[in-house]
Amino acid sequence: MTTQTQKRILVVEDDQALNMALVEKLKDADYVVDTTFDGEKGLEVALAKKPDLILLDLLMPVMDGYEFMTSLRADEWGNTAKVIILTNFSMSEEKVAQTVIDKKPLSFLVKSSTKLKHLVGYIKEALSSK
Amino acid sequence: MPFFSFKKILNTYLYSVAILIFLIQLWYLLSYYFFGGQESAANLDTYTVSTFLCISIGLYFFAQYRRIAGIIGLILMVISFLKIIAMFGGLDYQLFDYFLGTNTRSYIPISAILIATAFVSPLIDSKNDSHLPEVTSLTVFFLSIFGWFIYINGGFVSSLVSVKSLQSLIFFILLSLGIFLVYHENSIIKFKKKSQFQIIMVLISTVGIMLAATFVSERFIYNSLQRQFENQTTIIKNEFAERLQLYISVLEGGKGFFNASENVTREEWKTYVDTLDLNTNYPGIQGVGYSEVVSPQDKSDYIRRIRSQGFPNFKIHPEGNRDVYTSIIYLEPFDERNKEAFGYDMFSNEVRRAAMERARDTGEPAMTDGVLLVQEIDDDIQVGFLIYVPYYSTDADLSTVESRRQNLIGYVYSPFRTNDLVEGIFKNFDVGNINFSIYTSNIINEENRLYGKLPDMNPQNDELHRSTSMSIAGKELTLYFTAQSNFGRNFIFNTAPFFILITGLGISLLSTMVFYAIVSSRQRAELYASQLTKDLQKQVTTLKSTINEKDRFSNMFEKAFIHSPIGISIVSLDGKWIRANDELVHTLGYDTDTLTETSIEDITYPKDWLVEEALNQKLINGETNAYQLKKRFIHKKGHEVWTEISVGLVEDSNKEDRFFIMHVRDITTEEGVDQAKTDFVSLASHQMRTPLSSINWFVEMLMDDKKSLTKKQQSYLQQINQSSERMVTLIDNLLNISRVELGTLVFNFKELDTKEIISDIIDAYAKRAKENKIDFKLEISGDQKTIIGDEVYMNIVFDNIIANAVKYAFPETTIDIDVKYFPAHMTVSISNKGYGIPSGEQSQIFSKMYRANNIKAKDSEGFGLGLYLIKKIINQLNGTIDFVSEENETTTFNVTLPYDQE
Repeated sequence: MTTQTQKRILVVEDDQALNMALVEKLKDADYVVDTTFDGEKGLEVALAKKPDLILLDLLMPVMDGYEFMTSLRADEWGNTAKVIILTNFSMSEEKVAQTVIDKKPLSFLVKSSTKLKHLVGYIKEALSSK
Repeated sequence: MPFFSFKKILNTYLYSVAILIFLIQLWYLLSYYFFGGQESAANLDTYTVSTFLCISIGLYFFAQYRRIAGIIGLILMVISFLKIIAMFGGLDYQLFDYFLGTNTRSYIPISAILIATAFVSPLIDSKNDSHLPEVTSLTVFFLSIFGWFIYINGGFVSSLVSVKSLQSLIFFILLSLGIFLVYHENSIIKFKKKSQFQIIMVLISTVGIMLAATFVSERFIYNSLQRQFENQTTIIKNEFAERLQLYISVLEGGKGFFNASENVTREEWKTYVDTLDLNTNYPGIQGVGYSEVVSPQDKSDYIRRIRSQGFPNFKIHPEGNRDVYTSIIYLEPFDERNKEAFGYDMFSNEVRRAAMERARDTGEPAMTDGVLLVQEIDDDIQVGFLIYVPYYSTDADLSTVESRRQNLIGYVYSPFRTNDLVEGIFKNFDVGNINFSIYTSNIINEENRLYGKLPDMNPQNDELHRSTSMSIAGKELTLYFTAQSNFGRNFIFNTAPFFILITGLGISLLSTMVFYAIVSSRQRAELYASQLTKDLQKQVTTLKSTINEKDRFSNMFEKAFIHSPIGISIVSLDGKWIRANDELVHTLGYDTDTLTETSIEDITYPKDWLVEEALNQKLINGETNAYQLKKRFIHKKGHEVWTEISVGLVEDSNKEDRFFIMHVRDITTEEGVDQAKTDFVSLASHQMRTPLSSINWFVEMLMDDKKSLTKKQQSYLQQINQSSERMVTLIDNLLNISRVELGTLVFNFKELDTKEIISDIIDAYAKRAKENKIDFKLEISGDQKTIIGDEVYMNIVFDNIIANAVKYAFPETTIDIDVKYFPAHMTVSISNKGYGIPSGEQSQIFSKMYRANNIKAKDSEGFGLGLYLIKKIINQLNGTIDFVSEENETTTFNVTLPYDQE
């Protein structure tokens, strides 16, 4: 059961290991965590559960992160939903950069360069601000 | 150059004189020889001179073309000239005649030879000397003048004013003028033969007309003068004849007196003569006298008888015995002169006797030839004559000469002093400016001259003269009349020819000048026109060939443009398609018509258009010459077409008609390849990162739970972490390098504080540095400014250098980092004391995968990619990187960066 102060985070990540690590770490950080392994399911859950924050991977089957963002932002709620893009692509990728500019995630992080604890720090900051 | 110049005029004179005199004299020559002339030898003499002068002049004229004839002509001229001098000098010029001959027979062959030479010599020698015409002209001119002067002076001086010679001279002068102007070698205008001919013809015809007019009028005047002369002379002759006849009648009257009277006494005779009043009525009669025939036997009685009449000194003189005597016994008026004749036996004088005998024999009055009268007692001596009328015995039979001789008693006679007679006759008679002389026969010479002056038998001009005879008292007298120069002067038309001449002169001169002007200007115009035409033709030819070249060229270019394997287009400055070639059309998928209605912007990927537009503006402003750009067009079918465009600005010198020329190369394949590479790298790095992230995170989570780990486990985990971190770094580097290689490095420029970046990196390496007791010393100088740079890459650059500085420094040393701010740029110098870079390897330190040997030996960790990458990055940012290094001593890396790296 979620309390009023507990934040809900949706993880959309197709890699099993990474997904598991994220879920573990977030639960450890006392968040309510929903997780999906592809974009389509993720969108479904997002629109249904309306999480406080979405951690979004880009390279996923069925629906990739780009499409997810497009659809999400098309939604009335989704338009203002907080999203952190968590990917192993770099910002230097044009498509990535374009998405960042267009779809306005809160931030963009490269998994291999980001420690989990730093990630939690970013999340905390994201959730505390408006 | 003056229209007329003296030299030209001179030359013209000369040529024309030469031609004309030559022709005229040739005509004289031929006419004399073939048609027979009337000139006497004396006349021909002057002709000879002028003829030869002219022939030689003519030859000299030819001399300008034919040398041989010229030389001969020259010789002839010299000889002619010498002859003239001799003539004037009164020297014996006859010897010249051996050369030239007064006789036609001698100079005709010579002339013929000369003329023949003139015409034949062109076959031998047709050299044309340059200055000969001028010399010829001058010579001929002066000689012609001179020649005519001679000609004139050979005749009457008065003929200088004669219209005819004057006109001829003028004619030649005019002709010279005309011909010179035409033939002058150095004339600016090279007249065509036709024009030359025309001008000459105009000149000749106008002058000819003038001359014809003058000639006709002259002839007219001459004829009328001649008629007048005829009339006048006839009148004079008749008058003279009548008067003489009258005087004879007086004698007849005297005879009649004697016939009528038985005896005529002296007093009766005196009365008779006095009554006649000779002075008044019969001027010129010296007296009227009577001479008696005396036989020798009667002579002394006769003398006695006369003496007894009161003339004691009377005698018949001249003394002497003769067969028959006559004696003048009466001569009234018995003045001093006539007294001399008293008793004179006229029979003793041959001339008188002749007349007396004729009178006796014919019974008719008889006139003597000219005699010197006995009465001539003083200086005023005149030629005289006598007329005898025979007196026979009355009632004698006078039918035969014999009977007349038998019956002759005496003569009634009159002596005449001719001058007095003539003057007396014509005292009140207007002779009208006619000179005449009277001769007693038809031979006009001094011997026969009764009255007047002997005429000049070589009249040089056609002065009027007339020889007429009259029969008086058995004598055929010849009266020779010549008109004085002023004959007919009161005749008003006499001056007409002169006026005609002058007028005609003026007209012909004028017309020639006009015609000359016309022809020459026409000639000039034609010359100019033909020159112009030639020039024009040349130009046209050049132009045509140029146009052909250009056409060919432009055709070539046209074809090249259309069929070029690279897309080419012409674009207006405001970005609209003006023209596109086939390849471009094919690349973009539109057809030409549609294309020209669109702009580039319309079919360019929007993001690319911004860059392109900016570059275009730079072109227009002249900030750059041309640019190359990779951009995406939007194909008609909607998909992107990657192209590489090369754009330049085309403008002419006056900055008009500017347009862009754009080359479009379809690089879809290349881009595809590049894109494939990029995608591969991207995906590969992504895929490599993913398991690494997994390892990192799980290790991280394990290490978080320290309580449940032994020290050993912790350290093992640490090692795992480090290794995977390295892997991440490697992958990042590979990614960056691939971007550098593929040219897909994208900078994200924003304002940065370099100092801060460097401090952060120092902090990050502080712990590791401390492990080896290595310090950092950061120094900052100059006016601090922020830079416009890419944060990520700035970090990569300085991180790399500082990491190397730490890695290769000796323990217990300090790494000095100097950050200097300059006005336009900043420098960062990072120095360490450590292994350094061996000098042999310094040149290759920035190469890919290069690690210096000294380091490789020590530490096999490095990839050799770092320096390569950061050099590429720094270069892209318009900065520089270099180093100074001594092995095992100090190594300093210097980075210069502009403030605005965008």
